[in-house]
Amino acid sequence: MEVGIVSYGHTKFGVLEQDTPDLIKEAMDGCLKNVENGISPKEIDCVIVSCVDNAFSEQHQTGTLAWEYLGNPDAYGFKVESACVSGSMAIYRAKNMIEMGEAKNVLVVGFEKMNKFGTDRITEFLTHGSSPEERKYGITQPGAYALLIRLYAHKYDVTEDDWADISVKNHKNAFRNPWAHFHKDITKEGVMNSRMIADPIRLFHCSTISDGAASVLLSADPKKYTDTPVFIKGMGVAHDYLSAIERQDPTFLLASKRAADQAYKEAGKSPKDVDIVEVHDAFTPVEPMCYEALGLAKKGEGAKLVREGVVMFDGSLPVNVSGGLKAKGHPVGATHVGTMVEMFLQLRGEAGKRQVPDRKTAIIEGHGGTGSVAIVSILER
Amino acid sequence: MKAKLISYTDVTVPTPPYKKSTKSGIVEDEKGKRQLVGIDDEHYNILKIGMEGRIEKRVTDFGEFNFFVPEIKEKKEVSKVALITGATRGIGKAIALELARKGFNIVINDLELQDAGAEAINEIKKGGREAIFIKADISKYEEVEKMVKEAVEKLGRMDVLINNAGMNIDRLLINMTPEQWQKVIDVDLTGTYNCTKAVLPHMMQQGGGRIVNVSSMSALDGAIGQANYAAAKGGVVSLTKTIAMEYAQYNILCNAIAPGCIRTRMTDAMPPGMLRERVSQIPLGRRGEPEEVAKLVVFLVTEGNYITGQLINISAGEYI
Repeated sequence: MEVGIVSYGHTKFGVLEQDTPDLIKEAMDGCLKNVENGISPKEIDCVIVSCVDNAFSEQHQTGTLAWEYLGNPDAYGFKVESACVSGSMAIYRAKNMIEMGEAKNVLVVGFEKMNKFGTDRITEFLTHGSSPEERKYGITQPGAYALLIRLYAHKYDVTEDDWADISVKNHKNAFRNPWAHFHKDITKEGVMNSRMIADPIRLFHCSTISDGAASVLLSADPKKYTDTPVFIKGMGVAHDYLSAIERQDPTFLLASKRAADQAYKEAGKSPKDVDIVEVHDAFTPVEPMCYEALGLAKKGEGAKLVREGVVMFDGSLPVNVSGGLKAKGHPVGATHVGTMVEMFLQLRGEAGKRQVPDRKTAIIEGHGGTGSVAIVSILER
Repeated sequence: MKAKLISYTDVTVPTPPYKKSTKSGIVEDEKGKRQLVGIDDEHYNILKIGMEGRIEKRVTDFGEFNFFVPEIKEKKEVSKVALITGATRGIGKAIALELARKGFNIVINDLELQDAGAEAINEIKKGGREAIFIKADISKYEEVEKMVKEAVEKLGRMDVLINNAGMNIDRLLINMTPEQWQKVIDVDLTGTYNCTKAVLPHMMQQGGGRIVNVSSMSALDGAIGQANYAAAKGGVVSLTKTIAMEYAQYNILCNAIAPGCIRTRMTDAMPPGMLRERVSQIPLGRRGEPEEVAKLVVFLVTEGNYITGQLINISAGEYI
């Protein structure tokens, strides 16, 4: 049986007035409304919510809240957390539930309400995802990435120019996306002169602190609900040590590679089959490392794809056409439900101004921490 | 224990319990085992991947930590640089000379060099330190930015800023024109903002700095005929406190001083009767010397490592 995505909902990402309940409701309502052939709430067995930190939203029991909004008393709801890939983990669980016959239709809604607090508090919350040893030394999430990226850049001769090009690329892409947090043109010079956050990571390398929600509806019988479902051909999940110092090679996203291997195997695909990509650019210097983990570039050669224009919007393998976490936004629990929505629309040819023509096979890479958990999904129309 | 540096970072947006930027790294010991380490501010700018050093255990307020101490083969003498505005005479000149005696290379700023400023430069050079004059109107940000750029290009660093330049146009408020109000605000308050804004990126990048703002007794008590000057100098005190709060995390300390009746051109110009009356109010019974103010500034800059955001009055008990 092939699990298909049949519908989606998506709020704008950004600094939003809506609070948690409104965000969840808007994304769910959108998803139910967008089912082409219609669906009754009674046909949906379960709703899975993804959210990283309830401290952001000051709202527990979001599974129950989503159950209320669904309107099927016989369904049930629960929340999953898996750092920045919470959304992918919720989809992974939904897919497994359907494959195992536990459910026929599962609605996944990811959300995060981050902008209730100042940057300092949010940075503190996000640091709770680091290892105890890193936290002891005052190493924040940008700090932990900075340690990896400096080593990677030194080993493979990657420069600040490459990083700036990625930030500029993702901002340009976000212009075409009405849901994106930023519709702001940035220059290479602007990136390279932006404030240092955790040397060598600068402000314009960092993804945004966003509010937002997104949802997808997965079905065991997708053709019943739409003539053009998008099939989840393969998914993989893998872990690596929380702290990069324990990892075999801190310059390689091993968990992402292992997750990709599983996904390729299940889908019966290889990197050469992929024609559109979304990766986890929480900090843009890490984007080339994601290409390498997915097998799209050799180790240490990820930046070449940027230099040669391959991953640009009009390149042969566009990456992060949504604007990525950098510019579309990173409401952590919603982020990778959002990437799934993006690829769903791209494969159906419904992505509006940002539509890349004739895409058939999409891959999504997401990772949490600095690569301690990773989920890779392969989709096909 | 010997170790090799694998990577390092400076987290400039700290999280609790840390208030200031935290410098850390990954090292590998002789057996290839990696560990996290802290790094001292003074070593950060010389770090390179692959650098060798030793691991030192230290107990800090936040627990027990390992620190990486790099092996420095040739210790390079670093001459720190101080920029003093309005330094061709009076308190500013005295501060420049005193800081030079303490080993600082000096940037003297003013609207014109004048003979006294040239004398100061010669004296500093005779003492073996570098000294340059840079003309700039501190009320104009573009000129200040250009001055700081030139100073860093010529002397290589920017460690200390003394916001000393000031002016007064004394009138009763009812007689004070908007232009007279604005002119004093532009120089005394906006000039302090301009110079601070221009030096901050350099100090942040270097791992710290010291700023001393010359305020006035008028900021504490007000002064008849000095509405513009007292307001500007009061603003300097509030600005000082804010700078101290915002940049302590970068090891940039900022204090203000409020000199009382000091022997300068300003007090020399007072009518004799008024000067006598003022001196009679001072418990020590005399005007202060610019050199005495300079010694306080030098103390704040060189010894005051645990003092920030303070206004220190130096008035021989005139204000108690």
